[in-house]
Amino acid sequence: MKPVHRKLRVVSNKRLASDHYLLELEVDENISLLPGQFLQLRLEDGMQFLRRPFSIFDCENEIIKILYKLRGNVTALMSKVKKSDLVDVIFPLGNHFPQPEKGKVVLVSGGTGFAPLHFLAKELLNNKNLTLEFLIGGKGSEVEAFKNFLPSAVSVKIATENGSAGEKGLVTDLIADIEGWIYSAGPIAMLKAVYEKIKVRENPAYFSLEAHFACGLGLCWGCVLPTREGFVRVCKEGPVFSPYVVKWEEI
Amino acid sequence: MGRDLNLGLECWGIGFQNPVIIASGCIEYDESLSEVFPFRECGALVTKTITLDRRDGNPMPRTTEVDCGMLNSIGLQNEGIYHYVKKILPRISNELQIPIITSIAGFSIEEYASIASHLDREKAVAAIEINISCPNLEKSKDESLLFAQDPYMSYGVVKAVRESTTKPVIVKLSPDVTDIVAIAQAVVDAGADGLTVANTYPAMAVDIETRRPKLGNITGGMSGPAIRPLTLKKLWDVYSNVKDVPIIASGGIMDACHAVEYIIAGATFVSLGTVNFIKPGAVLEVISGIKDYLLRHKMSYKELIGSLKID
Repeated sequence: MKPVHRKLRVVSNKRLASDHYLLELEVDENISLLPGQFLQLRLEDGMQFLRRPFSIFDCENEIIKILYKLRGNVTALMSKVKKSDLVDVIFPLGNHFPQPEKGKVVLVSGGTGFAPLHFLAKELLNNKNLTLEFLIGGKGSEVEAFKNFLPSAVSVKIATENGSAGEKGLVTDLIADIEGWIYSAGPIAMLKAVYEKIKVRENPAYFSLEAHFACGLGLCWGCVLPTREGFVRVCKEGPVFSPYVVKWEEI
Repeated sequence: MGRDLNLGLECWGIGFQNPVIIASGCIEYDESLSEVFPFRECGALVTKTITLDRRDGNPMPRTTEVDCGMLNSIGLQNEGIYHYVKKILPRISNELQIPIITSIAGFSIEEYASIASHLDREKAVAAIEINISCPNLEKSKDESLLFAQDPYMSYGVVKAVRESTTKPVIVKLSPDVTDIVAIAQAVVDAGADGLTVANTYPAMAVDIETRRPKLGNITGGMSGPAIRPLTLKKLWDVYSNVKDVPIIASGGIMDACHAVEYIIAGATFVSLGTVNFIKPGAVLEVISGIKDYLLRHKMSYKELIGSLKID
């Protein structure tokens, strides 16, 4: 669907674990969002200047869900938003994850990078010719909360930095002898490490990238990514990119 | 109720459906955004500044939020004049039936003149805006300052462009000067038909935890509502001292009240930049807000321009 600009009503805004929250927004029209896409959000109270981008965590029955972590002033204000409040949203934006027809799929997330991959995993499960493995990384207890969103058909492995769940360490330590399609989202350092693990085998792979956005609409050229085809906009040509076109050494 | 009032105006031999213009660098025409952004309702579109050769632009990060505004250091990323003329211009002029004003920048007087003479042949270009004031451009080859910071260099650029085209020439001034009136007068003397007051303000921000600049280019240009009173004063200085040249106000307009404020101080046109990122429908709000104001005060648009009471 073409992007639309709407004021959406908050259905719920719940703390999941530590400093992670899930915000649910109600849409009163037919929408079709694709895994990998994002929205641009602005709170009504005027304390925020530029919009902030959030990956779509889930979308069903006209409810859009986003996962966020407290990081600064805006997310602190977001955490105060209550049921029936309105938030100003432009959605859906950006491209989406290409999907394989059959075989094995490995999803590797770090932190809130879980959000776009959660939506993707849900979609991929509709295809019975795929087997899914989800490697979830994070700081601590939020990772258990993330895992609970996934159906049992998904094989899950966990790594936490504080060792409170799964293996103690980084999610990239869980990657071994990778086969199939690879999807990844998370901090740049993690994406680089994932790329290092897969580049020799040249698995089909798609990563969701982040950047500082001003507009998030493709207007300003503020959020570019260095690629083999020059600077491209993360918000417009992305946020999903093949890691093989990214000039990782320049990020 | 202001919807019936006609805000159409003619200037430089061009018909404008309204005086609300989209500032250079703030819009990439994209049909897929037509539900979000009212491209066809704008008075005119100033396209992103083009240079003779393609430019990659500046390193990341290129934008950062500050109190009541933002900084950018895009660095005029563009594909160059040939790409603009062949690919961008035909598409936008075909799909948008509004005047297209082409913003240009060069690194020497000859480069400005060369771009202008290329554009002179293009029917789809309604006017040329000379960007002599981008704070993210490397300094000119001949001088240590921006062109816009030196009246003689500004005069030279505008005169060379004037001699290379018969199209209306608008000059975008820098607010980062001691005496903007001297620069404005110099470019009008050189043949400028209009002035844009003004570009962004040179600025910077630091992440104190990492002690790194928040922009990859270290410094950038500041825009947004914080600069509006500063630019308003520059506009007033120019309007009250440089006679008979239409001015496009550019700096921190977020709504119709801000636009009306600039028009009262002497602006013929108002341009929207950063607000487009936040409220993509702002152009419609500003147009209808100006109409409401005129009805409420029983004034015509022409009467409002420069109607500041100072007695």
